[in-house]
Amino acid sequence: MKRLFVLSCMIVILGLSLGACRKSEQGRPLMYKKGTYLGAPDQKISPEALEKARLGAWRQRGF
Amino acid sequence: MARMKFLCDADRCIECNACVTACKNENEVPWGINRRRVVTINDGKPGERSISVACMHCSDAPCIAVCPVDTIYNTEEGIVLHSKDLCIGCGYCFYSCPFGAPQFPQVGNFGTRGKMDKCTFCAGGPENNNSDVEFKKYGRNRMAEGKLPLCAEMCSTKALLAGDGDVVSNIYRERVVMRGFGAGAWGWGRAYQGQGS
Repeated sequence: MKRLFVLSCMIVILGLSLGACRKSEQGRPLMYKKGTYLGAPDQKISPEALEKARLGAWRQRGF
Repeated sequence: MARMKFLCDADRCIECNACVTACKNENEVPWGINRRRVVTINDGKPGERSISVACMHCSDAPCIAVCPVDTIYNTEEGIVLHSKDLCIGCGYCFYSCPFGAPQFPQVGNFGTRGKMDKCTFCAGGPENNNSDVEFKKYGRNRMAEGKLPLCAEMCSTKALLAGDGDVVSNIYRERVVMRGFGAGAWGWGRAYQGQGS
């Protein structure tokens, strides 16, 4: 009876500790693909902003 | 659209460090971290030259190749950015970078490195553009507003050029033609005192 209790306790503890190994618990990728960025995706810069930056780059010429 | 690039004209840089100050102020970079710095050779001697150095946003960046957790990535504009959520502070990027761009804050009593920090070309990071979180982690996102990095915009002699690589190279090409002598840049011969060509 006592052995069964210890065994069930161990199973519960193991289950809880493994549960903390999930990706959602860790908040980071757990499996990596070499050379592939797996973080949050970057928000794109709008074409208008890029064009504005491009014109800004030309303005550096006038000195 | 070409890739975003920095170019420092060594004939124009006067070592005023305004780029360093502008970067620190704009991005509220903490003490001990310099995303940009001015390097001078032959200081006080004939042939003194200075250049402003930061992350050069390499097309084939060695830091991306060595990062064990793939925290560094290239944007469509060719800007090299990284995620501080993924960084483990191993320092491999620092060892691989020929420009010494990746910086690490010294956190903890035992000199642990903390998350890597580097020039973002004033393009923030992988958070919502111009959000508070992005500013706190990576600094200002000027690119999303259509502005160039402040270091280049602030440069009084326009030694530091930033922007579309095509535009930057055209501006520099025009300067070289106007000067009428060489490229104004050093080769290996200058860097290693007469050795090489």
